[in-house]
Amino acid sequence: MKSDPELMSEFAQGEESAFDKLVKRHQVGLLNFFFRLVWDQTLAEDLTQEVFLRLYMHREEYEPRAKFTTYLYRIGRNCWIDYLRRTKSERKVRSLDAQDENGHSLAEAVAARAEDPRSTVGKDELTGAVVEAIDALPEEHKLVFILSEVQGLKYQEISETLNIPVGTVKSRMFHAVKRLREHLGRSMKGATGPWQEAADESS
Amino acid sequence: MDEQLQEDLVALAKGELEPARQAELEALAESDAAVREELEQIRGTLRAVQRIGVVEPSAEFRVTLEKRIRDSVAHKERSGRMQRPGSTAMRLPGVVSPGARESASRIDAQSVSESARAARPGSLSVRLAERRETGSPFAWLRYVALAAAMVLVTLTLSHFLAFPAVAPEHPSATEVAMKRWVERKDAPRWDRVLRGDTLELVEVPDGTELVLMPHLKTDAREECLVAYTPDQIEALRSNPALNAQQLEAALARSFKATVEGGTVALPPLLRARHLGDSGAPVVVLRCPGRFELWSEPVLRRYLRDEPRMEAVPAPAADLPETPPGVPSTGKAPAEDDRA
Repeated sequence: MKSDPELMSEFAQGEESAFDKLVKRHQVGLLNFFFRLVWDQTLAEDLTQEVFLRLYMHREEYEPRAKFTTYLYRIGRNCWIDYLRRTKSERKVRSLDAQDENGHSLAEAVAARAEDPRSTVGKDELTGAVVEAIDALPEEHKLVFILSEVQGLKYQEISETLNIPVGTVKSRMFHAVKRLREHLGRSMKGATGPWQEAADESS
Repeated sequence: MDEQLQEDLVALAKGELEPARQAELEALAESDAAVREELEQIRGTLRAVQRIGVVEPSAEFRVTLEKRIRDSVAHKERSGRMQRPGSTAMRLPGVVSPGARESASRIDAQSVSESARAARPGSLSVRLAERRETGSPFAWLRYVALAAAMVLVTLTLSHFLAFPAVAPEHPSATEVAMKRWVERKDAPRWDRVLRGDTLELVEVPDGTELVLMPHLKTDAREECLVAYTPDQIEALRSNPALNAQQLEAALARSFKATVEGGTVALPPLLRARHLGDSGAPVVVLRCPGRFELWSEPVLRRYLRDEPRMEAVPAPAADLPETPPGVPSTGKAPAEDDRA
């Protein structure tokens, strides 16, 4: 199997099928990266397409010095920043209980996408709390956390992607985990500790 | 538990530690129940996050992507055609290409025949024809005039673009003001614009008690707050240049707020009194030894109207930066914190 830089090199020379392979390889990762930022599949797909579009239009600018994933997620970060700027005035805090046009809440929508189809009420509650906790993170902590925890990027790669020192990545990751713990602890308080049970169950 | 240790435990759970430190912490977790519990809590949190399932692209994803790419490529090609030199779009009214000018001059000169020149050697048409052939000795003046006009237009435009604050309702006035501020080498660093009641200070350890007080040395002291850490207060107290009595009087009137989870909740009354209601934007400035919170309209007014702001000299290398709004007094900056 060809590596990402090899495919990019072929694509830069006009081989369109190499671009298709890159899209297939990275679309799910990018989509989930954006999904955890916006919790809306349509919007996440739109942002993912924007990343691939920029990759397509600027194919000659890629230099295989950095890891391709780093390059791709750096474009992703730029798209996200552009999106935040573009929608600055119209964005508002979304409530987990706010219902969409189909009468489903955000928490339900996210829980419905969980891997385990046998989701119990307790698990949905936990998933909703996790969504709420991630959503409440400051943007810079959220980006680091999602890149690390969801995309599986190493601290060094995150540092290159976001153009910040590794020490800052480490610190932001710590604060993100700390806030998530506090938030989950508060959200699930009085529910006989299902998030702790769920955590034990999945261990 | 020590924050550094907690940070390392998160890195351990993520497999990001160097082997030596990893072994050290694993041994510590074996022997210390509290550390073991902390590590388990971190791992539990990370596992909980994994419960959010993986989202797959919809069936339309690829089709839409291909359409967007086609549209962008077509748009780029159209733009490229429009910008080609010599194309219709480039032929602007009133602009004559050098080639066209030369050829027109050549025709005009040729249209005055040799016989006409011989018959009327001093006539106007002959003189004009001769001038076209030889070129006017003052032709360069036209280029000078053109260049001067361009400079004038550029300066006029840049004046209006660089000082949009003359229209206070201009939506980008704050951004422009911030840019001007940041470009000043001696200015405190702009940090962020705060819109709620919570100030993020992730770099200040949790539990730190901040001292909040109105800015002591600006005309806008009622609309600017300064946040000091206890260390910074001690530094102020030990500064012999400060009037200790006035400083203590100001501290007695100050407010306290504790950093929790990397944030500080501003006391609502204090915020309302000095910085407007909770919806009003507040600019956070990161200054040496303190944070300053400015009501955004006040800061903008300072940047726009305060002529002394432009006169603040660059500080000497061994002095801290000059606080905002401080006139050029020549005093040591430490004195500017004096009441």
